Amino acid sequence: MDGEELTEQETALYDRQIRVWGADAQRRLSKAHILVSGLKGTVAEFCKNIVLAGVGSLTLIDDRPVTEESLSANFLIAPDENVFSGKSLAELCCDSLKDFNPMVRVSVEKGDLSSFGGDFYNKFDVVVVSYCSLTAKKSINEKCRKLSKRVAFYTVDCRDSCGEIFVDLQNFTYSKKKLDETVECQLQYPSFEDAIAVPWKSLPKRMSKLYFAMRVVEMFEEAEGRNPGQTSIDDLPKVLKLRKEVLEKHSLNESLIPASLLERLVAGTREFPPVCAIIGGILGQEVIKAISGKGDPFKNFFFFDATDGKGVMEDISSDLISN
Amino acid sequence: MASEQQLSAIKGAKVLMVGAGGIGCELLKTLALSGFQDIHIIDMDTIEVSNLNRQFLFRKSHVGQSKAKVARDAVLRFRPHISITPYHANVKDSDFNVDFFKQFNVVLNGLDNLDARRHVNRLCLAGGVPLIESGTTGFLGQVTVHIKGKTECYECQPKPAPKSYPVCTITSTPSKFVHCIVWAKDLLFAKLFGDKNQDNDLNVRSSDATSSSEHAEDVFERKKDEDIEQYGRRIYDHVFGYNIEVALSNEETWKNRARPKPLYIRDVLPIELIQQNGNADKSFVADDSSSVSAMASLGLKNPQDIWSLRENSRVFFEALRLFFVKREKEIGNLSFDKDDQLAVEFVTAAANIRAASFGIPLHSLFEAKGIAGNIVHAVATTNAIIAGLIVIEAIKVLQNDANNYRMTYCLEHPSRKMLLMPVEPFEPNKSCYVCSETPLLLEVNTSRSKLRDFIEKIVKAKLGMSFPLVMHGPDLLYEVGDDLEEDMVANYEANLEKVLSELPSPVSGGTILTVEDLQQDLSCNINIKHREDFDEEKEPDGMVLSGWTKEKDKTTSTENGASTSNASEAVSLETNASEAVSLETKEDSDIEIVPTGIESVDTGKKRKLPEMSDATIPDSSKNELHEIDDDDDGDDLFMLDDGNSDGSKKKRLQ
Repeated sequence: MDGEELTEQETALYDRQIRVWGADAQRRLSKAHILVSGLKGTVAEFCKNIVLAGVGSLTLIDDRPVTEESLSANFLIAPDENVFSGKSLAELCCDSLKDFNPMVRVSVEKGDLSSFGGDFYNKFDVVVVSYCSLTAKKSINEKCRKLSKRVAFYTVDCRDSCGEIFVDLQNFTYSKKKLDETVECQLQYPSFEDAIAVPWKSLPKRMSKLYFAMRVVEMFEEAEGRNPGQTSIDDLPKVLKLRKEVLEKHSLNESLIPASLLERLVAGTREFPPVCAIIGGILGQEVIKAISGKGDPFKNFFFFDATDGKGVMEDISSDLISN
Repeated sequence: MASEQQLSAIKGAKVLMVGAGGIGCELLKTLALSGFQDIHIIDMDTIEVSNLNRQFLFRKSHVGQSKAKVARDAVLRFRPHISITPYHANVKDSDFNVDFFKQFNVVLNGLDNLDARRHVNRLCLAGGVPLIESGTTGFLGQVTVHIKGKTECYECQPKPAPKSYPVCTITSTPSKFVHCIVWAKDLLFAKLFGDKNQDNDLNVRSSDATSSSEHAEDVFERKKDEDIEQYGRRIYDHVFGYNIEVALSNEETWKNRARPKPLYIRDVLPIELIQQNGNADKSFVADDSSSVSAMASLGLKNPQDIWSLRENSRVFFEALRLFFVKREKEIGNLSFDKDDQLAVEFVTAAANIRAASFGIPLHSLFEAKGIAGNIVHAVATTNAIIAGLIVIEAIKVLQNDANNYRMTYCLEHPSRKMLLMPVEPFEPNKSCYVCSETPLLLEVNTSRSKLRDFIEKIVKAKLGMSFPLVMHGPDLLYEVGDDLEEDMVANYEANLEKVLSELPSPVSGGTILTVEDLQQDLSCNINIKHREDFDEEKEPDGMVLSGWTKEKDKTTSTENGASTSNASEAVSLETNASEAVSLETKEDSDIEIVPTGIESVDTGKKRKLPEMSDATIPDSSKNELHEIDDDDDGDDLFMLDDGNSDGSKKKRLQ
């Protein structure tokens, strides 16, 4: 697959990063097709990173019009542009991303993400969804898994000063350097649905609390028929009630999910730009690892909370049930 | 999202960014999005093509323009109503003095070299301005917070000195490719194209020193009317053939080493092939000196290919020829620059030919350029992450939220699942000559070393002072400045050439010298200890400075668990890479990683912040932290060492 050589232009532009991941990884990147949906601040950061890295193509989906809120953490859109009359978020971001790296094809796809079938997802190597409902996450992940080729699936969400990334690489083979040797490694990933179905009781005691808190908020939005991210402080009583129910079902103590954390997640719907940069950066790195097959990818969740500053990987898969 | 308190702290803040490169671009963007309204940014660099893969505020059309100014314009496009003040200047300029620094609430560093970092550290200490320091290399990065009197300063931990190699390894007994690069770059390239008057150890020292030096008198000078090919063959045969023969004649050297093979051009490359080089000239159109390339005129395309000895020899001749044909005016004034294609080609070819002679594996131009230019690996993602972390710390600093300051490490192979690892800052190192008043100790032969040696090798090179002043008691021995009287200048010039013991106010064992840099507002005392002899190889300066040490832990820490070595290995490896080459190494890009945190793993020292008043902590976040941490083990910090928990309780990674 690494037949063609990099052009002189590519070698000059990508010099510093080829020194990090090698020319073969750069060639693989240049043939990769990425789909992203939900163009808020975190995804804007991710798109910038992946376009700079030199992927083959990037397809954006987000039909929503521009609002003041969507501008708050998004550097891809100039606020005083009159051009956004009639243009969607995806279209505006596309214009600006094209400019970042002329060697990457950036385009817009219209429509509702969950209405697309397997044929559509088959065109991509990586699918990243953000601000997407629980049902949609599950169904898109399933559509990707049913394809004959491996499509890496990611979800990414930021709330208040917290962020979460989920990844499903299915059966993944990669190489890594161990001392002076390059060794082959293999990882098996569960789907999003299977991962979140793992009983909480069987999870390690020191699991990031954000994992549980994010699930409660996700369930709340699903039950109330809200759009992802459409919550406010007024929802807190209902969310706390849901917390109680869920934890009882899992036979766990309420203290597992601090009320203050849930409060931040439901009230802080506006993105915090430093966290967008961090989560968008980590996600970019992971996608580059998945495409290049180089270096340990994480399995299968990542959490960051600016209040304690920890960026933690968690492995939540059904193998845990047997423990 | 930011709280009201945070927002008002942000809005009222005036911040200084130093560096508009890899971290700088990301940082300026994130600051602007986060609501900062008054940002000043200093960067002396202009934009280059190799910046564009990560310095996303820049486009190809900006190449050659000021980074600070273009970055400002780019950010104003999405945040038109904030104030960004760019300075296309060196942060070491005297305009940026202590008063300049004092106007800012916090200084954020995104620098690429130790020298500037130390300078900014001193000005921040002098002005009492909080400093947030950062660095990235590849996937690794770190953010640290430096507050005078509360946390350690940037220089509390001695930084690893740039790697240098013994002269004889470079001139006579190279064993690694990097030795060949240093030889090609610092000796051969400098000799042929640089300042002819500079000292140069290019010629192998033979047992019969006189004859070889005589021979070397004018061998590198192109004779009048000498044909360029003739000249090239003469140089080639001299450095790769004759010099190796001379070295071989010194039997002692090769007792335990593989003997090199002298290479003469007649054996490597038929004369017709050298001449063919010249013929390619006709198809060569570009006249712009920056685009002159031997590879291009020889039809070699891929910089990742490893050329054969013959190809390297052809590149050697072609590059030499092009220098004389296309860039003759520059000869005599050139110094190696990693962005000078022809210079990189020449150095790659010469290093490879030497490597072939010594049985060392050859390398591609791409690799050779990385080593010769000391190029730091850099990707956009790590810079973005680090910039985000800087802003988070900056907001805490603006709110004076001292209990929550953290140093954060971005790791590639994390231990304990922690990809981003926050660590409580260390308290200041009591023996740091920069932020404490601890004197240093200098061992020197006072009757042999001159004041000039002391100024150059210690005051400038080791202490990082730019405008030094040296005093012995009330007597001024040396100072620099624009407003000095002529006779004073002459006086100081004369002092420079005197040995220490013969200065007007003689320096001997037991003397205490005071050294100051007025611009940095830094002063320190140096106790002089006389010592007769120094090891030429190990102590090439002929003097040894000490007293600025890491605090040793009482319990000796040995090897930590596997997870520990993982982290430290990753970082130290990068450190090596970024220090691969001996001489001046200023890289355009982002950083060298300085393994301060990791060093403390080895020393296992206990460094903890003194208790700070609770009153400064905003209530909301305090409660939160408490609640979240409650059933962790109550310890927000962590220990790198999983294995031995008892005695090493104090061994918090940092």
